[in-house]
Amino acid sequence: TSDRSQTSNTSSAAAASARPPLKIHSTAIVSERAVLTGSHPITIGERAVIHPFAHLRAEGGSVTISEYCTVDETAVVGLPAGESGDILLEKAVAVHSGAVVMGSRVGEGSEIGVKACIGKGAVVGQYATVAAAEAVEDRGEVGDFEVVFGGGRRRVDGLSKGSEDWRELRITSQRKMCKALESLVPDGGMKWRG
Amino acid sequence: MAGVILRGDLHRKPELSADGERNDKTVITAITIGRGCVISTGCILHPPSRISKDQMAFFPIRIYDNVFIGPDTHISAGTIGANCHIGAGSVLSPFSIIKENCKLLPGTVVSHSMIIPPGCIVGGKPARILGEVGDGWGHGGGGEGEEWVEGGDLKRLVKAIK
Repeated sequence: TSDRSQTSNTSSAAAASARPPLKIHSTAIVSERAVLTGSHPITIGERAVIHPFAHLRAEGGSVTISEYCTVDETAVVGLPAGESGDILLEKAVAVHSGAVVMGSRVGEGSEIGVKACIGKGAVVGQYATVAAAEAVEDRGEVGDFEVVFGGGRRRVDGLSKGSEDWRELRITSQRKMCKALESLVPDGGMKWRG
Repeated sequence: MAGVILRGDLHRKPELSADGERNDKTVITAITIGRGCVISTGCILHPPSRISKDQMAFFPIRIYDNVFIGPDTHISAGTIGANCHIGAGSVLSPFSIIKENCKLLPGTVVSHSMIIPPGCIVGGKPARILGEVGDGWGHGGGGEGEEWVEGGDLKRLVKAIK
């Protein structure tokens, strides 16, 4: 991966001393170049993967990331200072690059697409999909199995809703992603656990 | 340019050959970028992934020559053909294929596995074909004060970027 900028090393040194309280599972992978800010607790579950330059922002409230979640580079999870509220990503949630998740909850198995924006206090249900560059307004709601696409349009994914096997496949696929990333993305080691 | 993230770490793992020895001759390149390409600030190149032989595997991104990629674009495409011009803030979803000489307007979102035929002007979310690039695509650079045109040879632009 290429260097983001010259100043990132110094700012992360400063952030290391003002680091949020961290509770990271031993099997989770938090890249050394991930950005964890704020004063509220951050909890990262089993086998979750926080990519380099992903930003966990526990400035307005705590951030809880459950098992098998992935947060891609430049995605932001959490509220900025000035807002208040906790964020919970349930198991096997994929947050893709550039997305901003400020909602209070993302249900299990859901997928937040590239550059999508989940507004403050919004709730995303289970096995939902927010497509690339879509936006969910503040305090909005995405139901279970719902797909947000095409500039705010909604539809219900009948396949996820009707088939338990299909839902399990989504979870399995996310677990396989975590497994593949385990050997490709190095953990930050003592930076986060020391 | 500055602030570009290239996830070259996301590549297919080399397969073990029959006798269990790693085949060291296999070079897995996650991202291939052709000559004269310009990748503007804030772009992300994130190789696409899918389940292959029961495991999650990453596939390469292949970008051909003289491709201009505007700022803050997200690329998970499998292939971007030569002489394309990708507008700012676009999203190229996993395994999409952009053939040569295309122009993507700013903010285009190309869906998963979408294939864009050669010579198209494409825009929207999801991407739709809006027209064709004219016969003059790529020609005309080198006029007075004009260093490069869309779709043309980007060598001079690349040199101009310090």
